[in-house]
Amino acid sequence: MDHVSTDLADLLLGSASDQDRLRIERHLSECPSCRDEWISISALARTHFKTHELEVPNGYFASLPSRIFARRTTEPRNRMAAWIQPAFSNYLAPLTAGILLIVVVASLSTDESELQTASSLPVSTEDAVEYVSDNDAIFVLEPISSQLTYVNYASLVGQDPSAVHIPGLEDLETQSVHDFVSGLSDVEVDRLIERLNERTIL
Amino acid sequence: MSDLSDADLVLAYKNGSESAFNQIVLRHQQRIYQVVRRLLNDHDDADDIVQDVFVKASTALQEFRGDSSLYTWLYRIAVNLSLNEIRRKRVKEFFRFDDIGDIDTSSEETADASTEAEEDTALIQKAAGQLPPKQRIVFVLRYYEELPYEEIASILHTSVGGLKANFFHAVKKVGRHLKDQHGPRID
Repeated sequence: MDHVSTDLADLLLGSASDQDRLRIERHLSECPSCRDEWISISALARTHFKTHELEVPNGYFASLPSRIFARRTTEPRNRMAAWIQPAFSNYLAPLTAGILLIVVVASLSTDESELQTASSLPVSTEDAVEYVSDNDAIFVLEPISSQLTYVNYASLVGQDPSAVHIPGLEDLETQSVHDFVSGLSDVEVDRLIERLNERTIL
Repeated sequence: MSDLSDADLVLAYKNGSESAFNQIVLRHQQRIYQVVRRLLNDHDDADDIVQDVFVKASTALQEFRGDSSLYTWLYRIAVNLSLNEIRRKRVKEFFRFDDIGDIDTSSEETADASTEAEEDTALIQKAAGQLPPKQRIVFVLRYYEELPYEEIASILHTSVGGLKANFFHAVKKVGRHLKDQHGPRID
């Protein structure tokens, strides 16, 4: 029997097709588990999920095309970026490979230790910090020593990595983090590392 | 020019017609703005991102092959740029110096809750703003934009099953938030 719990939101909000609605309702009449799920969310009536029109400043859409045009014409066609991009890719690829290698090494050697210094990386410290969120781990490249620090959050709380909640760090991808971190000042980088390291001893 | 299809406008733009691109902006700006604004909950942030979307599109259109509709393609750019912005803000909040604690989404606008309905609207908006980025995107695209799962899957390059699960969890969380706020008013 295919459960329908993930279809219940559409049933609740009235966005299920007639065919789906019949299928879901038929299943609910036969399945206690899904019926319990439905009871738990059905108190949230559709009336409590109203949409509203967005308030947009007067004349906004009339002026938007000209502002977009102005940006397209005044911003330099980023020739430098186009030139740098392949170099960045060339740099990022080995860096990523290096990190992955260290991930493997670190994961093989993570028994009791919660915070491990995995390795030095032959990368420039210009980028200050590179770290990767991988559900259960974050890798911090310290700017001064170029040490890659492995912070294993899962081992801290002794539960399934997917259940570890790290506010602000869910779903992070390397690139977005890199973009963020590369914009930090040295002081902010120090603070970031401090915060991460604080968490390893909590 | 306004009579041309999206495909014809793209072709005209590739052949050097600036007015074709202008027409693309005019045709899609409102829906793109709407989804970005729902995702970011802030007009100024949305304005920046919408401009970024079309500036980026103006370059990338040269490579657009028409595998998806222009609108889906623009949506994809909008969602990706919005996602980056959401993540940037969340990380920035997380590492802020003053250690306020929880991620503060109150800087994001909330509707003036002068009536019960407006209060619910504001609560939903606030709760949606606290969802993890992917759930937030699925919630906005499905709930506000009412896109079919198949189209969302095309935009996010993910499976319909995964989207349904994300939407379900998002609705549950938003609903729980509403219920917590209202208490016994929901029966």
